[in-house]
Formats: sequence, C-alpha cells, structure tokens
Amino acid sequence: MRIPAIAAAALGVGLLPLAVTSKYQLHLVIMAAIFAILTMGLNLIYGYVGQLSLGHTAFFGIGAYTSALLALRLELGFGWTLLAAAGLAGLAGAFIGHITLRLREAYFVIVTLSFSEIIYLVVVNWVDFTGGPMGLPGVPSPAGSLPGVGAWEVTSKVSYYYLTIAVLLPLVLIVYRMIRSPIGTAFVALRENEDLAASVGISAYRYAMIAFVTGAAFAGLGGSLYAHYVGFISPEVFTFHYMIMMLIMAIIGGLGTISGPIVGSVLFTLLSEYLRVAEKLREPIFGAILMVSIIFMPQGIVPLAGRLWRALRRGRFETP
Amino acid sequence: MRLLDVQDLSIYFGGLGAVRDLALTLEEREILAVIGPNGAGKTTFFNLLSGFLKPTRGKILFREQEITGLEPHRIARRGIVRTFQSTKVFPGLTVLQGVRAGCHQRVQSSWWDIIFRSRVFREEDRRIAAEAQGLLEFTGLSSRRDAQAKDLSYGEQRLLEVAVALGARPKILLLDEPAAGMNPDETNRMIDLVTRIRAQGVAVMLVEHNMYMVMGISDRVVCLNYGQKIAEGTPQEIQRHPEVIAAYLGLGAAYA
Repeated sequence: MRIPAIAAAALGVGLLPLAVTSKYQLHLVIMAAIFAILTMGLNLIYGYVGQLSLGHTAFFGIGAYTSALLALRLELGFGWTLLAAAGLAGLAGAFIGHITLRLREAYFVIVTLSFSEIIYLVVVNWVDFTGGPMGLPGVPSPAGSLPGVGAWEVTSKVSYYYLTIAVLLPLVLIVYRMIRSPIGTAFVALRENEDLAASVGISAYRYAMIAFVTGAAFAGLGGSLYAHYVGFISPEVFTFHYMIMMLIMAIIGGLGTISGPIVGSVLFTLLSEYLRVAEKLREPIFGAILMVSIIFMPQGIVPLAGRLWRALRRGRFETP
Repeated sequence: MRLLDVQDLSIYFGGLGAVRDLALTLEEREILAVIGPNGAGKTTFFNLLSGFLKPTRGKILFREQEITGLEPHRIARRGIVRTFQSTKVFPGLTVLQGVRAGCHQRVQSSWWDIIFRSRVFREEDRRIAAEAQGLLEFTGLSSRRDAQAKDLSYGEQRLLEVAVALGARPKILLLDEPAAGMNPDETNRMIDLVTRIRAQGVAVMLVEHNMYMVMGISDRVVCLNYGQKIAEGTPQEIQRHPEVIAAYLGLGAAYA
C-alpha cells in the first residue's frame, strides 16, 4: 500500500500545474513549497530535538542575501548561489549553535532570537553592502548553463514550481532517512528525556548541533529560492512575522512528524492568503487559530489524521 | 586491575557536605550495595560517579584512568551507566526504540551512510535491531516490544530502564533503587535479573532500601550516613554492625 501511495503523490505533484492553471494560485503553491523547506528545517530542532529556535529567520535571510548578493555583485549562476546560500546559512548555524546549544530552553530561545535581531540590524545599517532598508531589487531569475544542455533560465511560474519541487523532494528524503536512523532516535531520545539520553552516552550538544545546522542549511536553501523567485529582498525577511508563520505551520502540521511541516505550510499559506480580505484582522486570527489548534489538536494535523485513519479501519477512536 | 577506585570524594552544597571523604573500590563482577538512611548521600554519590554532579574534591578512577568531572555522556561511553531513582524512560518511544537508543554509542554510520543507506548503515541497523531484541528477551519484555514506554506498568518500566542501560554495554551498572515500590514478586524478578547481569561479566553497584534484595545478592555492602562511610563489609557483618543499626534506628544522636 505504500508504493501506490507514493506513486499517487508523485503523480499529483508532477501534474499539479495542469490542474492549477491560475498564475496566482500557482504562486501560492510555490510559496507553500518554499515555506515547507523552511519549516522542515525548523521542525528538526524544534519538533524532534525539542529546542525552540527563534533564530530561524536569520538563516532564511542569510540564504536570501547570500544568493542575491552573489548573483548581483559577482553574477554567479543559480547553482552556485543556491549552494553558497545553504553553505553560509549552515556555517552561521554551526557558529551560533556552538555558542547557544550549551544553553537550554528559555536561554536558548532568547539567544537565538537576539541573533536574528543582530543580523537584522547589520543588514539594515550596512547600506553600502546590503542596500540597507531599501533592499536589493533586481535579483535575477535562476539561470545558468549546463554542459551538453546549454544556457537555461527559469522564468515561468510553472518552471519555477518544478525547480522548487526539485529542491524540496531531496530534502524530504534526507529528513526521512535521518529520522529513520540512529540520528533520529537520538533526537527524540533527547527530547523525551535528556538525562537518560546522556546516561547511555548520547551527546545532547552533538545531536542538537546536527539538527540545528541541517535546519539552518534548509532555511538557507529556502531563502535562496525565495530571493530568486520574488526578485527583490529587503530586511523584512528577518522580521518576526516569518518566524511566527513558520512556527504556526510547524505546530499546526504536527511537530516531530515528517509530513507535518509540508501539510502545515500548504494549509497555512493558503489560509493566510485568503485572510487578506480581512487585512487588519489577520494577525489576531493567526493567534486564535494557533490557540485553538494547540487546545484541540496539540500534536497537530498529521498525528490526528493518522489516528482518525486507524480508527476508521478498526472502527473505534482512541484518545492519545 | 581494580575496576573502580573512588578516593576522598567530597561534594559540598554551600556548607553542607552531602558526600564527604568517601573512599570505595569496586572489583570486576562484584555486586556492591550502598545503603543508608534517607539523605545519607547515596544518590548524590551516584550523581558524582555518573558525571551529573562535579565533586568539590577527590578522584574517581575507572580502570586506573581518571574520569572525575567528565560529562555524563562521556562517562557512559567509558562504561559506567546508571538508572535513576525516579523511573526514567523515553515515554514516547516504543520499548524497542528505547533500547535501540540505549545501544546508541555503538553507532558507526556517518551522516552520509545514513542518507545514502550504505552497506555500513544497513548492516549496523540489522545488528543493532538484533541486539535490542536480545536485550528485550534478556529482561523479559519481548512481548511488549511495540508498546510505548509510557503505556508500560511500573514494574515493566523499571525493567525497561535496565534494558536501555544494558544497551550501552556497561562495565559497571549503577542501579538507583531498582526495587523501590515493587511487590515481592517483581522484586524477585529484579534480583534474578541483576544476578544474570553479573553472570555476563558486569559489575553492579546498587543503592537500595529493600534489605531483602540487598542481603540476598550483594557481595559487599557499604553504609553511608550524613555523607560519610560508616561501615563496610559482607551483608552478615553489616547486619550486626552497631553503627549501622544505630543509624537505621535513629540512635545517631547518642554517638554525636
């Protein structure tokens, strides 16, 4: 039953642009896929290891700025800017992780948040290099040249959709394989009981670092895709608004699940877009949705759907 | 070679010496019980041995190498693994996953092995699955392998703790009140388990209030009171020791 399910999902993802013909709706799907990449990264450290990082926007922004600056200043091709974005965000993650991962809980939350604010201030004030509050306009669409294929450029929404999916899918596979391995077991062991994990030789620092750096690199990739897609970035990418978005997506979808961040990103991107009709009420509605979902489905949609599915097959519903 | 050599170990919390000038040794395959009234410093002593607390003074030598003040996961990797007084399991993991987490330090696969599912990873995965299964049989938990740890009965959780600890292949297993809150039947199962663990070549040190268990399986007993060692000897010697009797019957004031 698993292989047909995967095949059906692949077919759905592959043929989606045929069904979604409106450019606007395709735009939403692309944004959802970019958010899914970001949220999957956040889910590693927050959902699996259980440490809430509020610095995830910093890695998103570092990825976006790295890509934009390399493309604008050095005219590097997309392949390089994407890799550099992941690499630099990962390095930043290793640096800040090294400092903060010896801290726990509230301290970790505060330091990661401050880190994000510091990067924001640097970007706003270093006008010569980053363009300051005006941002960086004219980030080129992904383009490059491949030996044998020749020059290529991604301009249409449909081709950008496939590009984003081509980045997203390998990341899903990486997360899946990490989680279904001793690394994933160590993550969850730390979340469930850090003292016990230490007492059998699991290093909290080491595994939190693996989750944090991998998550930061994911955010860098998401930032790069975002910069090249939207074509304009400003220090706004570091704002807490994006952090809240990612958190809600991770929590609603299901923390510590593989598909939760994707489900959460799709649902919440659509929802927040349709809530634009009530612009002023949007943020309070976000808050209300988050509260209601934490009260009524604290584990998120994916585990709830799983329980419903098993209950339907067995004919009774068990509470967790 | 002496397995464990504790020298002049002390820890002070402010002015309070929770463990003071404690000297103690443990030999290969020995079962040593640490007893004493509540607040005598037994659990503090275990916390010092396992690295959860750093001593104010003194040394801990494991096979003649100093391990004093190392972080808990490093001490575990040397071969000293503990359980906790208040039952600690991984509540959301299944019994099998928990034991696999216990086997963690033998994982050799790199990140790349894991992502590409290399042969190193696949062979290791099979090996660890088999080891974990073996430990479930050893502790009598095979029938519960797919249950979540939080759904186990109290007695089963305590067995699971031991199984998780054994996953780390300790040379010394520290058991903090393994029989606390157990009925006589469960206590007997625990005694049987500890005896079989020793038979595998593991030295066991236990903190325990259940005298039936202590006297039944220990080779040697050490009694602590107010952070200091007041007596040491065979179970028979300890049972007759006047200071031990005084400490337990509350006549300590008479000696002060």
